[in-house]
Amino acid sequence: MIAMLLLLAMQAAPEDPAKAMREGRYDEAARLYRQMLKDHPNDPRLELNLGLALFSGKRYKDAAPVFDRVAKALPAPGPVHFMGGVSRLKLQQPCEAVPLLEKARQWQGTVMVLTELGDAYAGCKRYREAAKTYTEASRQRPGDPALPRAAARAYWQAREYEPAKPLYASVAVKFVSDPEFLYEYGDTLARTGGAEEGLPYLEKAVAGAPDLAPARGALGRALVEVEKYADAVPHLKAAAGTDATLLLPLSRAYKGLGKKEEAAAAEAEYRKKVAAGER
Amino acid sequence: MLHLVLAMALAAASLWTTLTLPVTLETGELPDRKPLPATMPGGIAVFDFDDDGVLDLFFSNGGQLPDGKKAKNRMLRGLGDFRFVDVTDKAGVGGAGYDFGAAVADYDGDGRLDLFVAGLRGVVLYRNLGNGGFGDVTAKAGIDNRGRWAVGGAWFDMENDGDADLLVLNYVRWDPATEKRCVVEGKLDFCHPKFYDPQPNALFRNNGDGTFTDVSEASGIGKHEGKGMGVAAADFDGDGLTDIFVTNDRLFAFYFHNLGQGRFAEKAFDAGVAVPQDGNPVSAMGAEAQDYDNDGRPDLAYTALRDETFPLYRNRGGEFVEVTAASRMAVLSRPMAGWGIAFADLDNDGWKDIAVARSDALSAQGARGESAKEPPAWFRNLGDGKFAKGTGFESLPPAMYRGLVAADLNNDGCLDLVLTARDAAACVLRHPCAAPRNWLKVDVPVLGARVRVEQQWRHVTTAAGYASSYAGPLHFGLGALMKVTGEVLFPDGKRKTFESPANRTIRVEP
Repeated sequence: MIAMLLLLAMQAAPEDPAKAMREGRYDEAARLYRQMLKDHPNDPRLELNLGLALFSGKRYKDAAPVFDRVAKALPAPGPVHFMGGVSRLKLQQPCEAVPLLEKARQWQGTVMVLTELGDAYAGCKRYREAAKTYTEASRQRPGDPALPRAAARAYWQAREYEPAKPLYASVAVKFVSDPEFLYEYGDTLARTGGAEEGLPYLEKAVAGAPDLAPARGALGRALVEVEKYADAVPHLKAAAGTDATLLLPLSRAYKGLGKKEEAAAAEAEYRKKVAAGER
Repeated sequence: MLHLVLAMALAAASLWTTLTLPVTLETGELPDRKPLPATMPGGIAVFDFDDDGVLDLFFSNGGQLPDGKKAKNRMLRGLGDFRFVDVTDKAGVGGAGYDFGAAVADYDGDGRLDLFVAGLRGVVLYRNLGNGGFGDVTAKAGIDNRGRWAVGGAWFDMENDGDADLLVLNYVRWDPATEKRCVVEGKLDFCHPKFYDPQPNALFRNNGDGTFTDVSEASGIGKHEGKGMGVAAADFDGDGLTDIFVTNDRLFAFYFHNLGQGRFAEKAFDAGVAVPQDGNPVSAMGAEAQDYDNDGRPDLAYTALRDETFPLYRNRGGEFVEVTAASRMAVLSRPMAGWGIAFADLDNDGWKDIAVARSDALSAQGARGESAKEPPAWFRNLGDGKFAKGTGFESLPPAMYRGLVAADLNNDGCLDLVLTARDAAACVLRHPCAAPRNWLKVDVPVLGARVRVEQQWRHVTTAAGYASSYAGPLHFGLGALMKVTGEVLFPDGKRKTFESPANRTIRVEP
C-alpha cells in the first residue's frame, strides 16, 4: 500500500518532485514539495505528498506532523491516517498511532492496516485489543503463521493464557526452532496446565537461546514446581539479576536441596527487593 | 414486630435465585470523595443467635465518612423458609461507628453465640444475653484495639484450654486529614494501599472469666505489621495447635505458626504461603481454610484482583504447594476480582467447591465504571485436583460484592450463599437444589475440632472469607451415600465416632 501511495505521489505531483521521488531523492522531493506549498499553502494533496517524501526518506519525525495536518484537513478515514499511524509507530509512539490506525481501519480493514493497528495496540500495552486485531487479520490471511503467532503473543502478554494456548498450538510446527516462541508457549502451558506441560518447550527454548533470561526464569520456576531443585538453581540464578521475583523460587530450590544458608540469603534478598518495590 | 417479606426473582429451576434482603450497605462514597474505608464494607455473620434452630443474619454497615451518620448494622432473625425479621434494635447491635467485619463465638461458655464487630475507630464485643438482646461488654472484657482500623476477626482456641481467644485483623493507618486524592485513568478513585502505612494485628487471650488479656506483643503477633484483609484459623501442621493465616493487601501474607504456650512464629515464607509462586505480592483479600482435596489437611485459598488469580494452596503438612495453575484456578479466576470466598460443596458431590463474591476494589464511579461490578462465581471441584467453572450463576446481576457466607438457610441440605454488595442491598442466593444429592450436617460446638465424614474433613472455625463469620453446622455433601460413618477429633485429644443416615443434622458434643 505504501508503494501505491508513493506511486500516487509521483504521478500527481508536478514533474520535478515526482521525478525526485522516483529516483529515490526523497530529501530533494521534500524540498520541492515545500516550495510548492508556499504557493498553494492549503493544498492537502501537496502536503500529503510532502509527508510521503519525508516518510520515504525515513524522516518520520518530520513526516508525522505533516500527516497530522493533512488528517485534520481531510478528516474522512483515508490513507493519510494509515501513513500517520505508521509514522507514529516508527517513532516508537504506539499509543499516538492507535487512533490514527483505528481510523485507517475504517478506511480499509486490510491485513496490512490491521497488522499495523495490532502492533500499535501491542506497543501501547493494549494487548487484548492487539490480540483481537491480529486474529481478525489472520482470518483474512489464513495461511500466514505470523498473524496467529502475534495474536498468541498478545494474549500471552495480556496474561490471557487460555485463548493464547490454541493459537500457539496452531502454529507450533512453524516456530519449532524459535526460542522466544518456545518460551512463550511453554510458559503458557505451564500456567494453564501446570509445570509439567510447559517443561519440554521451556527446555528447548533455553537450549536454543541460553541468554534468553525470561525463558531461563520460567524454566527455573517450572523445575521448582516439579521439585527438580538442582536443575532449577542455575537457571534461576542466571535470570534473577533481571527479575527479582525469581529469588523466591530460588530460595525454595535451595531449601529443597537442604542448602539453608543459600535459601535464607535468597529469601532475604527477595524480601528486600520485592517489598521495597511494593511499599 | 414488622415481618419483612423478601423480594424473590425466580429464574429457571436449575438456576440460583436472588432474594433481596432489607439491608443496604452504605459506604459513604461520594462522586467527589473516595475515602479508602468506603471500598471496604461489609462483612456478614451467619449464626443462630437465639438457638431456635434457624440461622440468623448479621450485617456490619458503614455510614458517612469520615465521622458522619452511622448506617446501622443489622440483625435479621431467621423465621425459616427464607423469611427474616429485622431485630436490630431489640438485639441492640446497631452499632455506633463505621464497621466492616464480624466474628462469632461463644466466648464466655454460656452456650450462646456472642458477636465481635470490627470497625474503623473501634471494635465491639457483644455478649449474647439469651433474651434476644446483646450487651456491649467491650470495655469490661478488656478488648481494646487502640483505635486501629479493624476489618475482621477470628475466634480460635490458641491454647486448647477450651475457651475462645480473639485475633483482631487490622488493615492500614487511615487519617481523613491526610487522605490523598487519587486519580486513576483520569478519574477520582480509591487510592492504592501503598499510600497507607501497615498496622499490626492484635491478639486477646481469653482469661476464662469473661475478660481478655492483650497478648499481641507477648505472643509475637503484634510485632508484624501488615495490611490485613482475610484471616483463617486451622491446625495446618497437625501438631494439635491452631495456627493463623492472614492475607495482607499487596504485602506478604502471614502464617502465624502456633508454638504453644501462647507464642507464635511468623513462618509464611517457610510454609510457602507468603506470596504466590511467581513472586509478585497480590491484592490478597478474603481467605479460607478447609480441606478441599479430602486428604485430611486444611488447605488454603484466597481472593485477589484481576490478573492476579485466586491462589490455591495444597497443604502438605504445614508446608504448602501452590496449585493455582495446576488446578486450573489460575485460568478460571484470572479475569476476576474477588473478596469473600468459601470452600463449600455446592453440588453435594463430596468435594468442596469454591464460591466467590466478586468485584473490583476500585469504584464503579471511577475509571472502571460499571465493569468494576462482577457477578458472583463458583468453581466446581472435579475431585481430581482440578476445578471447572460452576454453572447456574449466569443470570445473577453484577454488583460490587464483598462479603460471602455459605450456609443452608432453609435446611434443604443445599448450601445457599449470603452476600453483601457496596451501596446495594444484601442478598441471599438461593440454591435451586434441583437435583439434590445426599448430605449431612454435623454440629460441633468446639472451635478447632476436626470432623471426618467418610473421606471428607472439615474443622470447626467461624472465620469465613472476607470480614465474615459462620457458626452453623458443618456441611458435607455425600453424593449417593445414604449412610455414613465419621468421627470428631477434639482439640483436647478426645475422639468420638458416629454413624448416621444421610440428609439430617446431627450434633456431637465433646
